[in-house]
Amino acid sequence: MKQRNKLISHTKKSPLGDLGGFDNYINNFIRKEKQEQVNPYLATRVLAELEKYDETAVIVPIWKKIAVAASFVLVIAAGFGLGSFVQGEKEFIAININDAQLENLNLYTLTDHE
Amino acid sequence: MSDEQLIEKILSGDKEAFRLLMEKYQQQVFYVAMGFVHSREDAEDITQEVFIRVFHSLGSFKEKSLFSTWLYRIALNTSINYINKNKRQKFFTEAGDNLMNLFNRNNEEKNAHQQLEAAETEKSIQKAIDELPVKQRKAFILSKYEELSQRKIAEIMQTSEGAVEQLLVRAKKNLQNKLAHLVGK
Repeated sequence: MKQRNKLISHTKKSPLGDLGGFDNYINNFIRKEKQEQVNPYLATRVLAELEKYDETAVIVPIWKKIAVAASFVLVIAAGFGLGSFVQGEKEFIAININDAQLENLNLYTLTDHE
Repeated sequence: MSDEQLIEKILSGDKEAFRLLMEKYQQQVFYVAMGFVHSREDAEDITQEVFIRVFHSLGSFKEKSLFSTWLYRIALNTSINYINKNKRQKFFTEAGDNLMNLFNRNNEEKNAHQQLEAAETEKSIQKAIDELPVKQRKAFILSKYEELSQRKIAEIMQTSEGAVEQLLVRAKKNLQNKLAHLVGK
C-alpha cells in the first residue's frame, strides 16, 4: 500500500511521470538512445581542435594595424609632395587629332545608296 | 576537484583541467544532443561544438549560476542552431534511408514485418518529439533524457517552475495526439 502511494505521488510530481499508453513506447525509445555512449576520444578531439584554432588565430596588436595604415598614408603624401617639387622644362608635343582624312564617313551616312 | 577550481585552472591556461571538465560533463551534453538529433555522429559533432564554445567563452562565465546550468544552456542553443543549419541535409538523408528500407524490405523476408514495424514506431516517436515547439522540446528533453528536476529546468530555461510544468503538460498532450495511432497496436 505504502509503495502504491509512493508511486502515485511520484507520478503526480512530474507532468511527464505518466504518459499513459505512450509511456512505454517513449521510455523505450529514450532508453535505446541513451545506450549510445560518447566517443572516449572526444575530449582529445576537442583539445586538438582548440590547438588548431590557437595556431591559425594570429592576433595582430592594434599598434601594428595603426602603423601599417599610417605608412600607407605617408607614402601617398610623400608622392604628392615630391611631385610638386619637380622643376624643369616642360616639353609640349602637338598631336594632330583631326583624322577626318583617314576614312570617309559619308559612306556610312548616305541614305540614297540603295 | 570542484567546477570552480577547474575553471580557475583553465583560465590560467591549464588545458588538462579542461579535459577533466569535459570528461565530467560530456555524457550529459551528448544526451541532450541525442534528444535533438537522434544520431550518434551528429550528437558528437554538437558535443564537440559545445565544448569549443565553452572554452572560448569561459572568461565571460559569471558564477551567478552553476556551471552545469550555463553548460546546459549552451548545449540547448547549439543543438537548436545545428538543427536549423542542417534541415535541408536531413531531408535528403531521410529520403535515402527510406529508399534503403525499401531495398531491405525486399531482401530480408525473415522478421521483416516486425523490424519494419519497430522502425516505424521509432520513427513516429522521433518525429513527434522533433515536431514539438522549441520550448516544449527543450523542457521535454531536459526532463526525460537528463531526468532533471523542474527547478533545475526552470533555472536553465530562465523561467518559473510553473511555466516549466505547463510546458511539460503541453508537450505530453502534443505527444499523445501525435502518437495516438500507436496505442491500437
